[in-house]
Amino acid sequence: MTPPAGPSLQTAPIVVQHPGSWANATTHYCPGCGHGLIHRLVANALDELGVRERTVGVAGVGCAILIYNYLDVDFQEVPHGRAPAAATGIKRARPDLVVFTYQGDGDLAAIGTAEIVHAAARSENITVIYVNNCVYGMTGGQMAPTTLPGQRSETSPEGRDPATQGHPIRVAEMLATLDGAVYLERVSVTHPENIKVAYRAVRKAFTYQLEGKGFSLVEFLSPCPTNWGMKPIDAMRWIDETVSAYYPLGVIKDREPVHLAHLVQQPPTAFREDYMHGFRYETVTQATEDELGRHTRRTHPFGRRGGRWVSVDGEEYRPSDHDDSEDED
Amino acid sequence: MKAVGTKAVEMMTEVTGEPRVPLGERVLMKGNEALAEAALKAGCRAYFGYPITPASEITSYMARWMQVEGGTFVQAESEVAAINMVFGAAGTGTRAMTASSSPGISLMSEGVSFLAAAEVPCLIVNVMRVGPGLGGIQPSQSDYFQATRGLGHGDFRVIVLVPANLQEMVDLTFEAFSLAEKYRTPVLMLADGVLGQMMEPVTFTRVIDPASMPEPEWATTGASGRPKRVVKSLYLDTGELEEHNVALQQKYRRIEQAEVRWNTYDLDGARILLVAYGTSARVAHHAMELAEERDMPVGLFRPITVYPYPYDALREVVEERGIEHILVVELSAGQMVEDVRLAVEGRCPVSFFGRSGGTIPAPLEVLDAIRNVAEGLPTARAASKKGGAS
Repeated sequence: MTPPAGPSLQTAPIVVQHPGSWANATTHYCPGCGHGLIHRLVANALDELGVRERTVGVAGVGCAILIYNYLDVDFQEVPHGRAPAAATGIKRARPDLVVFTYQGDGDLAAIGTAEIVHAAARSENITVIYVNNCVYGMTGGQMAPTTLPGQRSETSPEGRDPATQGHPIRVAEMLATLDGAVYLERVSVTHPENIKVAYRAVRKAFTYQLEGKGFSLVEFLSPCPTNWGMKPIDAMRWIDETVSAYYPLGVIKDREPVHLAHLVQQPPTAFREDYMHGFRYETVTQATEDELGRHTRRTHPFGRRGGRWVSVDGEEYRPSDHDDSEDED
Repeated sequence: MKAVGTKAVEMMTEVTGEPRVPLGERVLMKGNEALAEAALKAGCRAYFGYPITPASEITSYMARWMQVEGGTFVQAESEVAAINMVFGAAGTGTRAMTASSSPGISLMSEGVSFLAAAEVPCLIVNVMRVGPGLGGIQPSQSDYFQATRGLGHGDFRVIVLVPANLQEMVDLTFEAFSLAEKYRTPVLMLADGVLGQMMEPVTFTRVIDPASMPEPEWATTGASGRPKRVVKSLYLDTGELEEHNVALQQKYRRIEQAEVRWNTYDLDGARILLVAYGTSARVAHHAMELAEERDMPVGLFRPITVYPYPYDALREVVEERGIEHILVVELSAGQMVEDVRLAVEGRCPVSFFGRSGGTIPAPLEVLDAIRNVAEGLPTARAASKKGGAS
């Protein structure tokens, strides 16, 4: 039985093809790795925004250091963790260029914490693609700053014990406390719906850069079946069921930078709506103090006008209370 | 003569609308600020720095004037970040630099190794202070080993320039950017706390417009109408990596052939040769004059590049002039003296005089050291400058 005659490969209309920003190299990534997908999303976004010709990527150290083999754009490859600093140099020297870093969790959240925090604090107009797979991949599966409590790795063979090995870092939430961080979203690539959301996030992050809005970061929860010791499908399932429970997906922050002058001149009504870890920041006025019937702690993080952190149910956050309870434990 | 400091410059420029530091005019400037001004005039348009004594004025001067010149200035969160910002900016073909002092340079080591490996040109200034550790803020020359040998991991060198006065420092700043770009390598300006903090008259003779410089054919500026470019140092294939290393070494041999600089003073009739660089060369020069007044046959050899080191030139001086003893003077416990021994290869004895811990020797101390050496010479007491070498 002969197969039905279809259009020939030469004449068939092209339904789908590699993006122009794609270099079409043979992959070196393990089966089930998330990097290939994420590279592709970046390439698609650069294509769609038409910026391939003026893009410079900065490759962090890790499995994805070889991203410059897969994307057909100019690249700089820099020391471990320093990509945000190099990207700062590129963008400041050539503001007309579109600059992004591509960093793993060891690169960004361990050795490169100072660089990412200060790039965000300066609101560098760059895009950071941050790939969090909860493990050091390239060096063979050691514990990363993002390794979950209880997760086994080469250097936490009994499972990560927060008592001795510390707690994981939620990078997007940590950066959200910085006024300079404009857009922070956490996404995953576990199934087509999530990939669509992830693509929109990447595109938005680059769009913000083109609009000159400032620092944006997209955190990907990405599978590492090899170092997790799982089948690729189980790795995806583990992200959906466990990893994204610890690192919740969604927009962590999406707002213009808060400027001091604005806060000093007008009450920061918009800022009051921002909840961080269940607390919101509220301006303390004489009226507030009259209402409370006592003098509040006037911390002054935003200039002369003092403020305080208040929980959702109106309880004031007091560092000393917090410390006391820790001590009792 | 005008005295030009940050405040003075600012007032003068704002009040008169005249150029900040006019060309061709002799002005009195602080070393750090003269160096920064020279970098601006040499077309440097990206500066990244972190404050540290005694190099801070360079960063302050750049903060004030870089943006006026249309360049970019960022106060980095650390020297680690600063050198990587230099990497990024220089990687786009922009003339970029950073400046620091000894502990900060140690922090930059990682980045310098990557810059050298990826062949990214830039200027790094080390206004040396005394170590080890936090040490102190007094001048020193104790980073010589680091500068010429150990500025980072791997088989690489950077060109190291060692000025001895501010005019030379200004001229070498222009030179440094040219050398960096010619050889695609980081260049280190190895000054010290004295040169950074002292004031001396300097004259600026030219200005380079960065717009007049062509875009380098390796710079990452967006792959428009050309294949993509990657500025990198990773070569996973051992064959390819060896080729890369061999090419780097060939480049260093070319530098050693073409870029050695030095100066000599009063070699006629000299039997004792002082060898010193930077601030210690100033002290040595004074000591030499004192020795000459006392009829001691002394000359001075001053390297201006310490990588590449003037090995051949020094050996030739020793051979041709019949030098009988070398006295190396340094603000360290003895670092360059090793290069001097490598240069003379046992042709004559090599002694060392140095002070460390931030103390600068008085010329009379050096004179004592010269006297000790002179007394050991075969006909020391009878030796006079004119009749010494025959």
